[in-house]
Amino acid sequence: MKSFIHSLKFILPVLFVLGAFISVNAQDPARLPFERLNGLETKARDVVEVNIDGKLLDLAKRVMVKTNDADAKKVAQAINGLKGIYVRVYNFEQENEYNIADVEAIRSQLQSPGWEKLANVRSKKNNQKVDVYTMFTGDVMSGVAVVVSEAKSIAVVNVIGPIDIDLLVELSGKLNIPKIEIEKDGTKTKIGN
Amino acid sequence: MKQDYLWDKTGEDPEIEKLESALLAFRYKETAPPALPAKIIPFETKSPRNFFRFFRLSYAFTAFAALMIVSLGVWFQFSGGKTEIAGNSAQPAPNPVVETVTNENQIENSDNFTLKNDLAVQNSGLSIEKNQVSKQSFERKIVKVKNIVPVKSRPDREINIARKTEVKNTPVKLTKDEKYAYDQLMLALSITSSKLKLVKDKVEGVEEPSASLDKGR
Repeated sequence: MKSFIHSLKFILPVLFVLGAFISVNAQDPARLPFERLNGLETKARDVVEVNIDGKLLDLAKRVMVKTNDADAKKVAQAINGLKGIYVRVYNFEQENEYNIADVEAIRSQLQSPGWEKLANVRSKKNNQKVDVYTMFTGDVMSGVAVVVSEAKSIAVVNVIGPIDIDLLVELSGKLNIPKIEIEKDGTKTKIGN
Repeated sequence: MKQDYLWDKTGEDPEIEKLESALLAFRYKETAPPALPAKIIPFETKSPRNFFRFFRLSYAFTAFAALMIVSLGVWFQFSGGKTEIAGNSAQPAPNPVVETVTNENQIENSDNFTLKNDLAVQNSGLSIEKNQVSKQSFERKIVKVKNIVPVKSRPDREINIARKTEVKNTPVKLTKDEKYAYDQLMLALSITSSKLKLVKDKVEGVEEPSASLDKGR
């Protein structure tokens, strides 16, 4: 029995570390499941799907820091604590070509505890519905969700982590790709403006 | 009754003989000694201590395996991209200034030095190649400069130091992966910002829809 207790003294810290590791890697509560929207890919004329997180996001942040563009510096500041951005945009040929229930399923997820409605817009023109939700952990923003549905298009944006919304709005339309050079097999290719 | 028969079996003693014949079956018979068994089976003793020893070993192995998995996971989680050169780090590049070189004597007295600006280089009387290099390249040059051997140890005093740099307004060099990551982020941010701008315009009544704004925080 004594040796069993002695073993527990060793195992419990390991299990604690393991539990902490699992909890760190657990899915963020601000992450919206987009699985239901996958069926729209076949119906849509244009599909934009962006998943940027983890190492890809770190890489992009490093590029932001390198860039000498003033707006890019602002963006780098705005996304400093960002953990991920997930975007789905579906444009359809005809009106009401998609099932509105698919979008409402996303909206219903935003009714769950933690999400707070920041703004919503309802317009009869193009049957437009726009919802903006935010999630806070304490005083720190932990997520943003934007759901836009129109007669011929759907757009869902899910931002994980803190982000400066005002700054992003301010930079709307200015987020272009600056002059860059790509190193490719020792040769340089110029891309951008 | 004679005592001789009882002691040395001489003579006759019918009473003792009668007893002998009655107890004949129990008489000692000399035979070969018993042989040892071919296989000796040790006596097994199972104690509770062995039971716990087995569990102790299994727990130790499990704990070690878990620790290894956690360590590998943590390593994979945090090592990615951090083993690159300093020029690629997420931290903004520090000012590449350590010490100002004003004359040759200072250089001779210093084993490790860097140049602050062109003026300092000109005053030092050192040869400088005026080339435009990127910020990243400049940082690499600084590392090389720090490893320059003392001036006294060089016979011809030909000092090849850092080159003139122009950090501002130089195009950013990106690898294909960096370009892809950057494009993805900019695409995501541009869509996000445009949608947020749409909401803001609607709320501010740019297109006069029926809009409401709930100020969350």
